[in-house]
Amino acid sequence: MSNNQKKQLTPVQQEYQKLQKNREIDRPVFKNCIKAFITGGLICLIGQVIQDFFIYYFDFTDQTAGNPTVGTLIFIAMLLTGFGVYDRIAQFGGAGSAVPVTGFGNAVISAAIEHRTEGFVLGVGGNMFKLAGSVILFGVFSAFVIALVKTILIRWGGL
Amino acid sequence: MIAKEEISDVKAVNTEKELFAAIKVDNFDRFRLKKIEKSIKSDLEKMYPNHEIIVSSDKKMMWELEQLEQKLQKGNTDKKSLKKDLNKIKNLMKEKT
Repeated sequence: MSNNQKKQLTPVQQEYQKLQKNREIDRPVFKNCIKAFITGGLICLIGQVIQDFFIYYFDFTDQTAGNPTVGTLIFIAMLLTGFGVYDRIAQFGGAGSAVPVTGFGNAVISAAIEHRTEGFVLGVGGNMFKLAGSVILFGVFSAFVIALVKTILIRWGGL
Repeated sequence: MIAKEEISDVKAVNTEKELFAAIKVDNFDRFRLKKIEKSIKSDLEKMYPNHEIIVSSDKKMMWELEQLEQKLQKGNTDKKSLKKDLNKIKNLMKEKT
C-alpha cells in the first residue's frame, strides 16, 4: 500500500493493517518457483517425446515437426481441462502450467466451460476467446509489425 | 570428422555423385549449429571434390541414414532403391515449415 493511501486511513484501520501484516502467512516464492520449474519441465519433456514420435514414425524433420507437436499438446491440454485434471496441475505448478502452450488450450476451454450457462452463442461463443483471443491477436499483430520493419530494412536499408 | 569435439555421432551414406552426412551436436555446442554445419560441409567438399555434399544435424536425417546403413551392411538393397531412399531424404531436408 502506498504512503498516500495510508494517511487517509483512520487510526483503527491502521492498527488493523499492522495486525494483518503480522498474521499474514508469507508466500513461499522459492518453493513455488521450484514447483513451476518442475511442472513446466515435465510438460516440455512430454512435448519432446511427442516431437520425437512424429519425427521417427512420420515424414517430419526437426524443422517441420513443431506444428503437429504444438497441435497435439494443445489438444491434450483441452481434454485434460474438460475432465478437470488440468486445474489440479495448475494449482500445483502455477506459472509452470500456464506459460507453455498447454496454458493456451486451458485458457480457451476453461472460459468456454465457465460461460456455458449463458447459452451457446453469447456465452460459449462470445467468451471462449476472452483471454486466448488477445494472445492470438497480439501474436499476429506483432508478427505483422516485425515483417513490416524487416521489409523496410531490406528494401531501403540494404541489409 | 569425428575428431571434432563438438560432434558426438555421425552417420554417412554415399553414391557416386552424392554424399549424405548426418551429425549429432552436443547440447551447448548447438548454439553454433549453423557454423558447425558449414565448416563440416566445406571440409567434406575439400575431401571429396567430385561429390555433392549434403550435411545436416537433423534428427530425421540421422535416423533415416542409420536405417540405410543397416540395410547396406546386410546387403539387401540395390542401387535403385538406395537412390529412391536418398532422394526422399533430400526432399525432406528441403521442406520448410
